[in-house]
Amino acid sequence: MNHLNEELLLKYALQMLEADAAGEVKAHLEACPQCAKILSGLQNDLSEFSKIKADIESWNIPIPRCRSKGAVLAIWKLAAVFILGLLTGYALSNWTQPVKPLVTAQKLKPHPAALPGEMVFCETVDVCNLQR
Amino acid sequence: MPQGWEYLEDACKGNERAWQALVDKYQRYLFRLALMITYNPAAAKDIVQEVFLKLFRVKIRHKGGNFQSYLSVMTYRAALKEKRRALAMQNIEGQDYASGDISPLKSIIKEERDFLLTSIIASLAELHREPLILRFFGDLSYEEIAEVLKIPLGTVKSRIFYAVRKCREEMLIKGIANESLE
Repeated sequence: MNHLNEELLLKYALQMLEADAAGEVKAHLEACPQCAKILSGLQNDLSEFSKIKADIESWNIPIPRCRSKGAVLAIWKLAAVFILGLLTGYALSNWTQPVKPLVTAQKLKPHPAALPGEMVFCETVDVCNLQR
Repeated sequence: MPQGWEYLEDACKGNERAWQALVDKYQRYLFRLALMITYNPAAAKDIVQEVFLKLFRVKIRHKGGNFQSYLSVMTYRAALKEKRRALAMQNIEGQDYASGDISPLKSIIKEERDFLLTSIIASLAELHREPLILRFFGDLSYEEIAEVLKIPLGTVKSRIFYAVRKCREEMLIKGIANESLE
Protein backbone atom coordinates (compact mmCIF):
# COMPACT_ATOMS: atom_id res chain seq x y z
CA MET A 1 0.00 0.00 0.00
CA ASN A 2 1.28 3.46 -0.92
CA HIS A 3 1.44 5.81 2.00
CA LEU A 4 0.29 9.41 1.89
CA ASN A 5 2.99 12.03 1.96
CA GLU A 6 3.31 14.28 4.98
CA GLU A 7 2.44 17.42 3.03
CA LEU A 8 -0.94 15.98 2.12
CA LEU A 9 -1.53 14.83 5.70
CA LEU A 10 -0.59 18.26 7.03
CA LYS A 11 -3.05 19.92 4.63
CA TYR A 12 -5.67 17.45 5.80
CA ALA A 13 -4.89 18.23 9.44
CA LEU A 14 -5.14 21.95 8.67
CA GLN A 15 -8.48 21.37 6.91
CA MET A 16 -7.15 22.91 3.73
CA LEU A 17 -8.19 20.18 1.31
CA GLU A 18 -11.23 20.34 -0.93
CA ALA A 19 -14.05 17.96 0.00
CA ASP A 20 -13.14 15.34 -2.65
CA ALA A 21 -9.46 15.19 -1.71
CA ALA A 22 -10.31 15.18 1.99
CA GLY A 23 -12.67 12.24 1.38
CA GLU A 24 -9.92 10.26 -0.33
CA VAL A 25 -7.46 10.94 2.50
CA LYS A 26 -10.07 9.95 5.05
CA ALA A 27 -10.73 6.66 3.24
CA HIS A 28 -7.01 5.91 3.14
CA LEU A 29 -6.57 6.71 6.82
CA GLU A 30 -9.29 4.25 7.77
CA ALA A 31 -7.33 1.49 6.05
CA CYS A 32 -3.79 2.58 6.96
CA PRO A 33 -2.86 2.74 10.66
CA GLN A 34 0.65 3.97 9.82
CA CYS A 35 -0.61 7.11 8.07
CA ALA A 36 -3.24 7.56 10.77
CA LYS A 37 -0.46 7.54 13.36
CA ILE A 38 1.48 10.23 11.49
CA LEU A 39 -1.67 12.30 11.20
CA SER A 40 -2.26 11.96 14.91
CA GLY A 41 1.29 13.22 15.57
CA LEU A 42 0.73 16.18 13.26
CA GLN A 43 -2.53 17.02 14.97
CA ASN A 44 -0.79 16.88 18.34
CA ASP A 45 1.89 19.27 17.11
CA LEU A 46 -0.71 21.65 15.78
CA SER A 47 -2.59 21.60 19.05
CA GLU A 48 0.64 22.64 20.81
CA PHE A 49 0.29 26.11 19.28
CA SER A 50 -3.06 26.65 20.94
CA LYS A 51 -1.79 25.22 24.23
CA ILE A 52 0.90 27.85 24.80
CA LYS A 53 0.10 29.10 28.25
CA ALA A 54 0.58 32.68 29.35
CA ASP A 55 0.90 32.66 33.11
CA ILE A 56 -1.06 35.68 34.20
CA GLU A 57 -3.56 36.28 36.95
CA SER A 58 -6.87 37.62 35.77
CA TRP A 59 -7.28 41.28 36.65
CA ASN A 60 -10.28 43.39 37.30
CA ILE A 61 -11.79 45.37 34.45
CA PRO A 62 -14.62 47.47 35.88
CA ILE A 63 -17.84 47.67 33.96
CA PRO A 64 -17.82 50.87 31.90
CA ARG A 65 -20.71 53.27 31.98
CA CYS A 66 -22.82 52.59 28.96
CA ARG A 67 -24.63 55.48 27.30
CA SER A 68 -28.32 54.74 27.19
CA LYS A 69 -30.30 55.32 24.03
CA GLY A 70 -32.07 58.25 25.73
CA ALA A 71 -28.79 59.98 26.53
CA VAL A 72 -27.54 59.53 22.99
CA LEU A 73 -30.79 60.94 21.63
CA ALA A 74 -30.57 63.93 23.96
CA ILE A 75 -27.01 64.65 22.76
CA TRP A 76 -28.17 64.53 19.16
CA LYS A 77 -31.09 66.85 19.92
CA LEU A 78 -28.81 69.37 21.63
CA ALA A 79 -26.39 69.25 18.72
CA ALA A 80 -29.25 69.80 16.25
CA VAL A 81 -30.56 72.82 18.21
CA PHE A 82 -27.06 74.29 18.36
CA ILE A 83 -26.47 73.91 14.63
CA LEU A 84 -29.93 75.28 13.85
CA GLY A 85 -29.21 78.32 16.04
CA LEU A 86 -25.92 78.93 14.26
CA LEU A 87 -27.56 78.70 10.83
CA THR A 88 -30.41 81.03 11.86
CA GLY A 89 -27.96 83.59 13.22
CA TYR A 90 -25.91 83.45 10.04
CA ALA A 91 -28.99 83.80 7.84
CA LEU A 92 -30.30 86.76 9.83
CA SER A 93 -26.98 88.56 9.71
CA ASN A 94 -27.02 88.31 5.92
CA TRP A 95 -30.72 89.24 5.66
CA THR A 96 -30.29 92.84 6.76
CA GLN A 97 -27.79 94.64 4.54
CA PRO A 98 -25.17 96.42 6.60
CA VAL A 99 -25.30 100.22 6.26
CA LYS A 100 -22.12 101.58 4.83
CA PRO A 101 -20.89 104.54 6.86
CA LEU A 102 -21.02 107.69 4.87
CA VAL A 103 -17.71 109.35 5.16
CA THR A 104 -17.39 112.93 4.18
CA ALA A 105 -14.47 115.12 4.28
CA GLN A 106 -15.12 118.11 6.35
CA LYS A 107 -13.48 121.33 6.05
CA LEU A 108 -12.40 122.47 9.39
CA LYS A 109 -11.28 125.78 10.43
CA PRO A 110 -7.68 125.80 11.56
CA HIS A 111 -7.31 125.47 15.19
CA PRO A 112 -5.90 128.51 16.66
CA ALA A 113 -3.22 126.53 18.45
CA ALA A 114 -2.30 124.34 15.41
CA LEU A 115 1.01 124.86 13.75
CA PRO A 116 1.17 125.05 9.96
CA GLY A 117 0.84 121.50 8.47
CA GLU A 118 -0.22 119.92 11.75
CA MET A 119 -3.11 117.49 11.66
CA VAL A 120 -6.10 118.20 13.71
CA PHE A 121 -8.11 115.08 14.49
CA CYS A 122 -11.78 115.33 14.21
CA GLU A 123 -13.99 113.34 16.57
CA THR A 124 -17.00 112.90 14.35
CA VAL A 125 -15.67 111.99 10.89
CA ASP A 126 -13.10 109.59 9.54
CA VAL A 127 -11.21 111.98 7.30
CA CYS A 128 -10.33 115.49 8.21
CA ASN A 129 -8.76 118.14 6.08
CA LEU A 130 -6.83 120.81 7.70
CA GLN A 131 -7.41 124.12 6.13
CA ARG A 132 -4.49 126.37 6.21
CA MET B 1 -28.32 35.36 19.56
CA PRO B 2 -24.99 33.67 20.42
CA GLN B 3 -23.92 33.67 24.06
CA GLY B 4 -21.17 36.31 23.92
CA TRP B 5 -23.48 38.89 22.37
CA GLU B 6 -26.11 38.13 25.00
CA TYR B 7 -23.59 38.76 27.77
CA LEU B 8 -22.59 42.02 26.15
CA GLU B 9 -26.17 43.17 25.76
CA ASP B 10 -26.90 42.39 29.42
CA ALA B 11 -23.69 44.11 30.52
CA CYS B 12 -24.67 47.18 28.51
CA LYS B 13 -27.85 47.30 30.57
CA GLY B 14 -25.69 47.45 33.70
CA ASN B 15 -25.64 43.74 34.57
CA GLU B 16 -22.31 43.38 36.38
CA ARG B 17 -22.49 39.58 36.52
CA ALA B 18 -22.82 39.38 32.74
CA TRP B 19 -19.87 41.76 32.39
CA GLN B 20 -17.77 39.68 34.76
CA ALA B 21 -18.67 36.50 32.90
CA LEU B 22 -17.57 38.15 29.66
CA VAL B 23 -14.28 39.31 31.15
CA ASP B 24 -13.58 35.93 32.79
CA LYS B 25 -14.28 34.06 29.59
CA TYR B 26 -12.20 36.09 27.16
CA GLN B 27 -9.64 38.10 29.12
CA ARG B 28 -6.78 35.57 29.14
CA TYR B 29 -7.50 34.39 25.65
CA LEU B 30 -7.25 37.94 24.29
CA PHE B 31 -4.20 38.65 26.42
CA ARG B 32 -2.36 35.73 24.86
CA LEU B 33 -3.28 36.87 21.36
CA ALA B 34 -2.07 40.43 22.05
CA LEU B 35 1.07 39.02 23.67
CA MET B 36 1.95 36.97 20.59
CA ILE B 37 1.84 40.12 18.48
CA THR B 38 3.47 42.69 20.78
CA TYR B 39 5.78 40.49 22.95
CA ASN B 40 5.08 43.01 25.67
CA PRO B 41 3.00 41.84 28.68
CA ALA B 42 2.17 45.37 29.89
CA ALA B 43 1.09 46.47 26.43
CA ALA B 44 -0.95 43.28 25.97
CA LYS B 45 -2.80 43.98 29.21
CA ASP B 46 -3.59 47.53 28.10
CA ILE B 47 -4.81 46.25 24.75
CA VAL B 48 -7.23 43.81 26.38
CA GLN B 49 -8.54 46.59 28.60
CA GLU B 50 -8.97 48.84 25.57
CA VAL B 51 -10.83 46.12 23.65
CA PHE B 52 -13.30 45.56 26.48
CA LEU B 53 -13.97 49.28 26.82
CA LYS B 54 -14.35 49.62 23.06
CA LEU B 55 -17.08 46.99 23.15
CA PHE B 56 -19.18 49.54 24.98
CA ARG B 57 -18.21 52.58 22.97
CA VAL B 58 -18.44 51.28 19.41
CA LYS B 59 -21.76 50.70 17.74
CA ILE B 60 -21.74 47.07 16.67
CA ARG B 61 -23.62 46.39 13.47
CA HIS B 62 -23.55 42.60 13.18
CA LYS B 63 -24.43 40.88 16.42
CA GLY B 64 -25.13 37.54 14.80
CA GLY B 65 -21.52 36.63 14.00
CA ASN B 66 -18.97 34.80 16.05
CA PHE B 67 -18.35 36.88 19.17
CA GLN B 68 -14.91 35.41 19.81
CA SER B 69 -13.79 36.16 16.24
CA TYR B 70 -15.08 39.70 16.64
CA LEU B 71 -12.98 40.14 19.79
CA SER B 72 -9.97 38.53 18.15
CA VAL B 73 -10.08 40.93 15.21
CA MET B 74 -10.43 43.92 17.54
CA THR B 75 -7.50 42.70 19.63
CA TYR B 76 -5.38 41.94 16.60
CA ARG B 77 -5.91 45.45 15.20
CA ALA B 78 -5.22 47.14 18.53
CA ALA B 79 -2.09 45.02 19.04
CA LEU B 80 -0.83 45.79 15.56
CA LYS B 81 -1.35 49.49 16.17
CA GLU B 82 0.57 49.26 19.45
CA LYS B 83 3.36 47.29 17.80
CA ARG B 84 3.74 49.94 15.07
CA ARG B 85 3.71 52.69 17.67
CA ALA B 86 6.44 50.94 19.68
CA LEU B 87 8.43 50.38 16.51
CA ALA B 88 8.18 54.06 15.57
CA MET B 89 9.24 55.08 19.09
CA GLN B 90 12.26 52.79 18.91
CA ASN B 91 13.24 54.23 15.55
CA ILE B 92 13.01 57.76 16.93
CA GLU B 93 15.18 56.79 19.88
CA GLY B 94 17.71 55.29 17.46
CA GLN B 95 17.41 51.74 18.72
CA ASP B 96 17.37 48.71 16.47
CA TYR B 97 14.02 46.99 16.45
CA ALA B 98 14.42 43.35 17.27
CA SER B 99 11.24 41.87 15.83
CA GLY B 100 11.91 38.41 17.22
CA ASP B 101 12.97 39.46 20.71
CA ILE B 102 10.73 37.54 23.05
CA SER B 103 12.85 37.89 26.18
CA PRO B 104 10.16 40.01 27.95
CA LEU B 105 7.90 36.93 27.79
CA LYS B 106 10.11 34.79 30.00
CA SER B 107 8.25 35.87 33.10
CA ILE B 108 4.88 35.11 31.49
CA ILE B 109 5.50 31.95 29.46
CA LYS B 110 7.08 29.73 32.08
CA GLU B 111 6.89 26.29 30.47
CA GLU B 112 10.11 25.69 28.55
CA ARG B 113 8.32 23.91 25.73
CA ASP B 114 5.87 26.79 25.34
CA PHE B 115 8.69 29.32 25.34
CA LEU B 116 10.59 27.34 22.69
CA LEU B 117 7.49 27.19 20.54
CA THR B 118 6.91 30.92 20.97
CA SER B 119 10.48 31.63 19.91
CA ILE B 120 9.97 29.47 16.82
CA ILE B 121 6.82 31.38 15.89
CA ALA B 122 8.59 34.70 16.55
CA SER B 123 11.39 33.72 14.18
CA LEU B 124 8.96 33.48 11.26
CA ALA B 125 8.68 36.34 8.80
CA GLU B 126 5.76 38.66 9.60
CA LEU B 127 4.17 37.61 6.34
CA HIS B 128 3.76 34.06 7.65
CA ARG B 129 3.56 34.75 11.37
CA GLU B 130 0.46 36.92 11.35
CA PRO B 131 -1.91 34.53 9.58
CA LEU B 132 -0.59 31.72 11.80
CA ILE B 133 -1.28 33.76 14.95
CA LEU B 134 -4.75 34.70 13.75
CA ARG B 135 -5.50 31.05 13.04
CA PHE B 136 -4.13 29.41 16.18
CA PHE B 137 -4.37 32.20 18.75
CA GLY B 138 -7.33 34.13 17.36
CA ASP B 139 -9.32 31.05 16.25
CA LEU B 140 -10.26 32.77 13.01
CA SER B 141 -11.32 30.81 9.95
CA TYR B 142 -9.27 31.05 6.77
CA GLU B 143 -12.01 33.21 5.24
CA GLU B 144 -11.97 35.59 8.21
CA ILE B 145 -8.17 35.87 8.05
CA ALA B 146 -8.38 36.68 4.32
CA GLU B 147 -10.84 39.46 5.14
CA VAL B 148 -8.76 40.89 8.00
CA LEU B 149 -5.46 40.80 6.12
CA LYS B 150 -7.09 41.76 2.82
CA ILE B 151 -5.39 38.95 0.91
CA PRO B 152 -6.90 36.12 -1.19
CA LEU B 153 -8.04 32.94 0.55
CA GLY B 154 -5.49 30.84 -1.35
CA THR B 155 -2.69 33.10 -0.15
CA VAL B 156 -3.87 32.73 3.45
CA LYS B 157 -3.81 28.95 3.17
CA SER B 158 -0.41 28.82 1.51
CA ARG B 159 1.11 31.20 4.08
CA ILE B 160 -0.28 29.24 7.00
CA PHE B 161 0.82 25.97 5.46
CA TYR B 162 4.34 27.33 4.96
CA ALA B 163 4.41 28.72 8.52
CA VAL B 164 3.26 25.45 10.06
CA ARG B 165 5.73 23.41 8.02
CA LYS B 166 8.56 25.76 8.98
CA CYS B 167 7.57 25.61 12.65
CA ARG B 168 7.43 21.84 12.53
CA GLU B 169 10.90 21.64 11.02
CA GLU B 170 12.21 23.79 13.86
CA MET B 171 10.24 21.74 16.38
CA LEU B 172 11.86 18.57 15.05
CA ILE B 173 15.32 20.16 15.32
CA LYS B 174 14.63 21.23 18.90
CA GLY B 175 13.13 17.87 19.74
CA ILE B 176 9.64 19.01 20.59
CA ALA B 177 7.75 17.55 17.63
CA ASN B 178 6.44 14.12 16.83
CA GLU B 179 8.75 12.31 14.43
CA SER B 180 7.50 11.83 10.87
CA LEU B 181 8.08 9.03 8.37
CA GLU B 182 10.22 11.23 6.13
